[in-house]
Amino acid sequence: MIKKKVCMLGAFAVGKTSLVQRYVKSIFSEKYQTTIGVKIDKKTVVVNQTEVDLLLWDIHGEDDFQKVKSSYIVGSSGYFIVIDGTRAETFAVGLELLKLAQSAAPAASCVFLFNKADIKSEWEITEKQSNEIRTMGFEVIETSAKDNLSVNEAFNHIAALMLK
Amino acid sequence: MSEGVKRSAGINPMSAGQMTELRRAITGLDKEEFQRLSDLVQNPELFSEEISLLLPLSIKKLFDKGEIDIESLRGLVEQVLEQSVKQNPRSLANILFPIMMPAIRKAVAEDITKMVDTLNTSLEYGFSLKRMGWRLQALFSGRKYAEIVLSHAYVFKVNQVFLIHKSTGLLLHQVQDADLQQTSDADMVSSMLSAIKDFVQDSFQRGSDEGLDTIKVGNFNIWMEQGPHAIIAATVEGNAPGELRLIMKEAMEAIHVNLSYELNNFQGDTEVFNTKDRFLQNCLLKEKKEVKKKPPYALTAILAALLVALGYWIYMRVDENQRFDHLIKAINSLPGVLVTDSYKQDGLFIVEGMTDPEVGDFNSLVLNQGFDSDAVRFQMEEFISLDKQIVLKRANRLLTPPDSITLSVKGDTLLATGNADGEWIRFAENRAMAITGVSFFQMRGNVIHSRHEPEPMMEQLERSVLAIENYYFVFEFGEVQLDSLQKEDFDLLITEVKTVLNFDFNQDSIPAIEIISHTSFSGNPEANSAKAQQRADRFIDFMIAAGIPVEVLIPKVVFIEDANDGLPVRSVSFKVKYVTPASL
Repeated sequence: MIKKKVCMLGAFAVGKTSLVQRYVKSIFSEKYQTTIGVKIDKKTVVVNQTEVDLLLWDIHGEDDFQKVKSSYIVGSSGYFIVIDGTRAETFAVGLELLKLAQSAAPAASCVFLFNKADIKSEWEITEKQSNEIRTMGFEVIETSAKDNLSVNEAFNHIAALMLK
Repeated sequence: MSEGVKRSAGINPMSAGQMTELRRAITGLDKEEFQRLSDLVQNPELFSEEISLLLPLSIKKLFDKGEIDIESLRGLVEQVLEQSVKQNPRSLANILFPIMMPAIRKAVAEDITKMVDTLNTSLEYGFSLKRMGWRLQALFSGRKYAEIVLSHAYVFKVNQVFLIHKSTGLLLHQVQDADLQQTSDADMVSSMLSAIKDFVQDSFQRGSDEGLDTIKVGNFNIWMEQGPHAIIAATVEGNAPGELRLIMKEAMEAIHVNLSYELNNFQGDTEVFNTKDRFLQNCLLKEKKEVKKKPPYALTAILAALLVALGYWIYMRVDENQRFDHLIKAINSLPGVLVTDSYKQDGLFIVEGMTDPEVGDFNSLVLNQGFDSDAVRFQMEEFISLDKQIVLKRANRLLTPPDSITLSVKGDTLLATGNADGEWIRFAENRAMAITGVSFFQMRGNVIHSRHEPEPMMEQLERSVLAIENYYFVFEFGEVQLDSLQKEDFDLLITEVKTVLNFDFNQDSIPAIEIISHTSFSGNPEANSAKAQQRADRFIDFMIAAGIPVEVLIPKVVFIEDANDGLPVRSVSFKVKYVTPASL
């Protein structure tokens, strides 16, 4: 059995919890995020006939009042940086978190999730910004927790990256 | 060398260019490279420097290939360390200082915690019999007392033990108690524990070696033991002893020794950690609470009832036997009864023996002792008892004295005291001797004459004479004095004597009283005779003092030849004799 630690990073209310809530096994309530700042969930994916348990550390959304603890990221094999397509400011937060994650887990795989793709007409995030991320060498996946758009693909993708 | 070749072979010497060409052909090296190798071989300093560059890489490759293992190096490393310590201990101490001090500090802190735990437990259990039992068990089994306590004293159970990778928080392996039914997802629990540990360390700015040791929620505890690369977390219900910490620490050390490489290079594959299951299994300690068995109330009640019944039965038997013993004693104490045997047969008490007919039955005694009259059967043979009370009873039954007469038995003499008419007195005098146990009859009192039938003079005289002759006084050995009872009798005797002396119907003879003092030949006859004479003289003195003329008193000493003669030895009796006045 292969197990991997994966962190969900992103600004406040970008939909990290929504992304995992409907598709993962969960035993802890969300209050942990507001108390100790993290909630653990689990999702099992199969990559190339190999079953992988992803232990998802759903870390609280970073804002002006609460910073993400780098110790939660240490030991991760991969992390998602979630950006709310409808809120331009979450892009900058995502880039800040990328720096933090690269420092705490330099060898980890990273995938950017541009969330809320179900209301793309309201997006403030531009294609240029997506390309900026891709230029940095990271995959960008547009997801929608509400419409179950590319969520499983995102998990499978990061699992595949981690197993490379 | 070129000179030697030239001389011995006799051929043309090779040019430098040819030599270079030949060297390259043979070794593949040009002149500079060859010279460098030659210098290396000839110069140990240079050679060792060259080797030092290659050695670490070679050792790593040998490790990777598995051609060098820890076991093969252990002896060498130990020797090196030993030598180093011998030569310069300070150097090694300086090297180890940064590692050892935190470790020592932590060990001391944990020992103190363990000691406090043990003290708490000791206080909790106190100086009990159970505790003494454990000490004896430790003494006889040769095991440590702590081990005995561990296996007996504490009521706790380790439910699950997790081996968690320290940096990733991923669960490497877990074991759980066989009785544990439902558990949360161990992977998520492990990660959450790891997160909590990180949270505590970050929040309180503790170093990585001062992590979270215990999480306590009521009776539920999580004990965590951190190693360099892994954490062992045990979920414990109840009050676990401090020794569990030691066992977890030993497991942690064993895992790090055996799986050091795997822990260092962990990439998410947990399969290899399953092979070291036993280290975690050692931590799965538990001590079942002593289940107090429900007392067998029904059985206890039945046993109690049986015991009560048995006790009652025993009490009844003992009481019955005691009452029977009392009955036997009471019967035996009756005059005229002799019990020869008593026993129980077929539920009946049997009394065997002899009884005088005067005794009557024993019903009242049987009832007094709480027995039914049917419960005791008497198998008594009749006999004639000479017991005074029985003789008296017999005399009363046979003589039926009037109310004015009281019968009594003294020795073998039946005494009739009081007043009675002459007819009864004569009847009694005739019948008394026929009563078994009565040899003599003595009437002490007055004759009552009826108004219609005055007693004839002669009969009255005869009765008085008879009364006098029935009196006798018995003395103890050497005694001549009268006791108080004898004095009363003596007064009655004087009355009868005066009655006889007052009769004057024959001028030719007058009554005289012969005072007969009886003695025997046993011992000193002369002394006996003297004593008997003294008693006779004493009576004469008494009679004179009572107004009896000395002339009619005749003392006499008589030796009793035969013990069955009638009167007792050392006694004084009287006889009325009619003598001529001249003979006095």
